[in-house]
Amino acid sequence: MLRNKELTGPLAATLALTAAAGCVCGALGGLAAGLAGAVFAALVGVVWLAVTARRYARLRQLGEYLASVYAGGELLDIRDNREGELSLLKNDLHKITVTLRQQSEQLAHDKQFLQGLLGSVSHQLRTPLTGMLVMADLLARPDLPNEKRAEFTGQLTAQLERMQWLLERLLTLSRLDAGCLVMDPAPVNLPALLRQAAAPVRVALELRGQTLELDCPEGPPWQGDEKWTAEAVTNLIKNASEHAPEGGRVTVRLRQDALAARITVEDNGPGIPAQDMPHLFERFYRGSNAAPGSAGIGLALARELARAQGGEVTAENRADGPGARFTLRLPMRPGAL
Amino acid sequence: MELLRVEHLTRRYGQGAAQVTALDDVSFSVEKGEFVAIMGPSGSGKSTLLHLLGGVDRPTAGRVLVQGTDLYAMDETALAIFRRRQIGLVYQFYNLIPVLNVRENLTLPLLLDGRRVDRSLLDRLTDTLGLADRLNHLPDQLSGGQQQRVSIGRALIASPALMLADEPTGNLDSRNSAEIMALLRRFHEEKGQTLLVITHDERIARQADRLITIEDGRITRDEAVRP
Repeated sequence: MLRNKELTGPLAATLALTAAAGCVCGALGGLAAGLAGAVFAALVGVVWLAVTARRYARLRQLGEYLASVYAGGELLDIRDNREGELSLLKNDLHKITVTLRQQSEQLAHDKQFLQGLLGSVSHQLRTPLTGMLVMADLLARPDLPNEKRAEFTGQLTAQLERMQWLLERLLTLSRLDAGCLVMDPAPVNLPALLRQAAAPVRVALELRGQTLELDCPEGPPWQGDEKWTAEAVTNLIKNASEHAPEGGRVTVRLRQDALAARITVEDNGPGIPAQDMPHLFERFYRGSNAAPGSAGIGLALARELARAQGGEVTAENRADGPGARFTLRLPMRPGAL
Repeated sequence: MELLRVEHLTRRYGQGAAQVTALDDVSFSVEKGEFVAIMGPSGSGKSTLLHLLGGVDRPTAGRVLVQGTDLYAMDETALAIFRRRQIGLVYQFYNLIPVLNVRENLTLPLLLDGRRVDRSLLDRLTDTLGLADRLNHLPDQLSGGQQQRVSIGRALIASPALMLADEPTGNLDSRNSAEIMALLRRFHEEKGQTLLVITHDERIARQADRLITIEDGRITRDEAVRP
């Protein structure tokens, strides 16, 4: 403590003042007065030193605590509820250390999420690639019969289309995350939007012999982004087609009131198992009866596209029979939902 | 990380036959960064609960711990200091001080602690609240929505651990209500502010992470609003 110049300076000044007080009192009132003056001045100095020493000891404790936190030690509640600068300092240090610790935990969590994400994406891309490499090998054989050649080429194209579909959706999700996906609100005719949304899935529906029923009465136009809303609905219909059985049925309904437009997409498949319900809209989550080619991003994307416009997608099992129902709600005016 | 723990909290008013149990053995806990809505009919005890959480009343029995500190184990002075540093309160009727201007009302918790107000913090806050050009106005020169924004700013200026709001939109029209809720959500999402809001309005409750329903002084439901 004596190496601290903040202390040694005032200490010297106190000693000098004590001597001066002794001399002055001595000169004015004789030896006894001089001694009394010196003793009194010395006592004041001692009190001052004691207070200062205690304050410095507290500061040193705080410093040691901070050093231990920096070294990864435990966070303690160092706050006390008193008036004064030292108490305020403790309060602020507590807030800052807690915030920092939380941020570092969040970072660790994010890092883990990123690793999981990379793993999922690589897995989704590698699986079709393996099959494609085999088919490319087979195609390279000069003695391959023509009908086989046509079949493999068809399969290659299908796999490539799946990869393209996946990559486009990943790109959309990452643009949503980065906040650079611009929604372009304009008056939209919803029945037309639903027909447009169904178009990309028609081939898949036909291949599985499924019927698509569109129940979309005309209503007032909705103010929103046509392209991305259609994308959300396409993902819902695609999901329904994947879960409806061969020869099954997918029903899309539109209902509008003053608050919201509700678009429901129903299938007549097995419905959503209870254990999948809380995770349905998580990225890369594949339910227990997910389609073999499913990547688990369609529903996540649909929900995020809806939320970007103040809407919401919810899932439930149909009360009127087996099957799942997804409901996309879009607010008719901002903040209505 | 647990931020708030309520243990067997009970509050009775009156004596003998006239005794009323406003809050009856309520226990729950809130994680840091959670946004909890508390709903219930009038007289269900939700305001009593909020006052006890905010350290402005004393319970008949039970404990309230904010970040491990037992509110009612402290003496009045320590509790008052704890309150102004760790708890932000927003009321339905704003409770601004009429003779202080917007800047003074906003910075009151800091001034009580004898602190100087950081210029850039105040600028950022008033920008977010949309009050930058109102700093020298008195409360009665402001609209209800603006007054409520001042009281939100006052609740947040000391970066409290916990923010409590009692019917924050109860006195406002729907547009101002939506704006106030958007502000509260923004502080919740961007700063991870832990938030407890009492409300009658289901539309507001649905914006929370979690909904606690109180009837006759007891918690009857406690459910996640969003997974």
